[in-house]
Amino acid sequence: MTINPERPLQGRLFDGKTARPHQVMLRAVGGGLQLIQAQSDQFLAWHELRCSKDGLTLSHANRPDWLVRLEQPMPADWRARMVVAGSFTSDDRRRVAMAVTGVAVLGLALWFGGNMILNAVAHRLPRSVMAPIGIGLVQGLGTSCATPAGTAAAQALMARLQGPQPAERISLTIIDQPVVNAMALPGGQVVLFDKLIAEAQSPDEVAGVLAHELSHIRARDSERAIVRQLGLSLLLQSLGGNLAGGADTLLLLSSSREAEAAADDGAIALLRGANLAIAPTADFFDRQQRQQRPARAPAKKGQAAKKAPTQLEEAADRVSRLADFTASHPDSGSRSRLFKTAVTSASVTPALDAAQWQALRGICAAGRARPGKPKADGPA
Amino acid sequence: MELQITEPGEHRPDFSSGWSSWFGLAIGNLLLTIVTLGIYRFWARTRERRHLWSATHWGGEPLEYTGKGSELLIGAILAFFVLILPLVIVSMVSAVAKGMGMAALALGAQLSIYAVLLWLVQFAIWRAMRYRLSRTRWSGIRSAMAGSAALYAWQGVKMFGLQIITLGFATPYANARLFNARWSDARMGTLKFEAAADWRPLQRLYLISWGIALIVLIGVAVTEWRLLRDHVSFTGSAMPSPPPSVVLQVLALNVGWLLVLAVIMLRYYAAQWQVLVGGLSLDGLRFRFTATAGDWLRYWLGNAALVVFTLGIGSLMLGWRHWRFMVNHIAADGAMDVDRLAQTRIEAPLFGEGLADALDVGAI
Repeated sequence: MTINPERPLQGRLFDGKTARPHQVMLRAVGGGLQLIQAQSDQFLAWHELRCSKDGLTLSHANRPDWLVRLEQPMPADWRARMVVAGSFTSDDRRRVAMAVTGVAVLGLALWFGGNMILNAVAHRLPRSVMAPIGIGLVQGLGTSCATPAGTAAAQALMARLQGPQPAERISLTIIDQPVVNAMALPGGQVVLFDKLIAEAQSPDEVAGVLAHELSHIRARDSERAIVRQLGLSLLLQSLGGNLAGGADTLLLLSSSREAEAAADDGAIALLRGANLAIAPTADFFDRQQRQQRPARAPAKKGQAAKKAPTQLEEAADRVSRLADFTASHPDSGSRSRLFKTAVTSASVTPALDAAQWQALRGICAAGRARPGKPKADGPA
Repeated sequence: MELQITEPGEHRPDFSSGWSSWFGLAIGNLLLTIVTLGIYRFWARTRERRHLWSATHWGGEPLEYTGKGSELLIGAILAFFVLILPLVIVSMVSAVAKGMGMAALALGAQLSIYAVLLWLVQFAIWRAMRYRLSRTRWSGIRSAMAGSAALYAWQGVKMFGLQIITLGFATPYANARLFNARWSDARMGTLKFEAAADWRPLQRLYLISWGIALIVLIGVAVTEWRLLRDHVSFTGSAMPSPPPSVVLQVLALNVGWLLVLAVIMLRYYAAQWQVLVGGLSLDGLRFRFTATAGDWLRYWLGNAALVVFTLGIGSLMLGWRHWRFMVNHIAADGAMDVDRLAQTRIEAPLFGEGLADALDVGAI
């Protein structure tokens, strides 16, 4: 389509004062456009004018709600002389470059320095604030168990691991719940679930789990998780929405895998320092792993009990190893291997004597026998 | 020169965007959002709105969206500092208080969080509407909201309380009150929207629908209690966890109830939209909403099919489909005097809907 530049373009002017359109004509003159209205004409300089991408709308840099809608697109030589709205100007390019640099710098700072910042904050949180949070969480887990002998045994175990002069006060609570688990909570709160003690075959196995949780406490891992979750993650999600939330979760899982591995290393060091056996902890993880994979059909007696693993089982094993990549804890099998390789020939002594072990195993049974109000405070 | 809207008769907005132009935009936005770790979403939303607005013609003239992505970004940053950070601090205080044995203080802090959130959700809905209207222009005239978000929020809290007290039976009244309150604050230039939706015609249909839904709910609750009573403890003592078959049954019951609820409430939902929009007028124009229960059902089933059969990619089209459904079912009768429609003097807010975004109550 050829447009005769001499012929004016028809359009509707909205002046931004009322919604009434005014019939206008536009004609190029030296240095700009002439707007021809019924009563008066106006001169509009090129540099004040903005043109829409489709060339059908004309707006003005200094009149916010003023616009002209044309009946046919503006000729190319008009458009070439004004700013096209929505086009990428060099100013935009500079702004985008600055924004991208900013995001990249922030991202790199968080990627490399994020853990350092989190650690620094986590280690500076006052115990007076964190301990109540931890205690509140412990209380929410269920009934805590206490008997004089059982509590003494638990404290003996703690003393054994922490040495004669513990660097910090850590309290151990035993909770009556049917789960095989243990936790390190903020403010030096360690929790052992009774079922874990029941499943353990020796006090050394419990000592291994406890040593792992003590390492978590020393590293302030749960404090770090709180700071991360309530500070950084929320900020990222506010800005980046669900996508940033997902990316953050992946980072969180990878960093908590690191923390778990570090806590296992710390546990081995603690057990060694306390002259405790390391092998039982490996046995404990082995048994846990066997229970995690129970689905093997009970082989008929008399048949070869040990068959080569079927392809299906191998596939399941591979999937479980893959699943481990996204899980926060290493699977029991690889943890068991870690503890096994740490076993040395140094002389060791049992974590508790037989009487203490019996008292620890019975710590919750006493409370269950006489139903009553759940005790609020565990052994300190 | 006259616009079509000045002539008396039926006026319908016209939506001229094809699905492919939207899909291209949405794919581009998705990719840019991914490579910017989500930050681009503010600009993505702005581009989507600009597209939808400009493809919607009213009385022969298109709508214009004049918002900017940076305004949404600033809104989100502000929301983080005025909403999320204080909430985090109060919940920390509550956790500390609980651990120190001050149960009353802990409970008080928790309850105050819920109360503030309840109020804030309504506040955010009003403010998001103000932002969008202030960035909406037609024939060179800006829209706006007059009035107070705080007053609206109090009304929202009151209506919530009323719904609780009446077991949900006040829904038609509460929804109409809030819709009228919101839209009575809306302005197009100097013209005021009149919102006078009457809840009474909805009451009969609602009583029947919600009554049936409640009876079914009670039946579901009793059945679930029978299934779960041996596995639930109120004293914190250990209980065996329910077997998978029971968990599945409870899940099936819940999903079943929701489906039944959707079918029962469909007719009410369609009627409510017709009544609410039917009460709306602007100058000499009276608005109508023409979607029937069947239209809504086809729309929702279409959405579900679109998402399922494209393995989720179709969800990129949902925003477009929503807008098209709304535009295609709005009509107005009468005429508007465009000389009386002058530019608003109400100042536009500087940043946008961060609260609504953070509280996830933003619609488009």
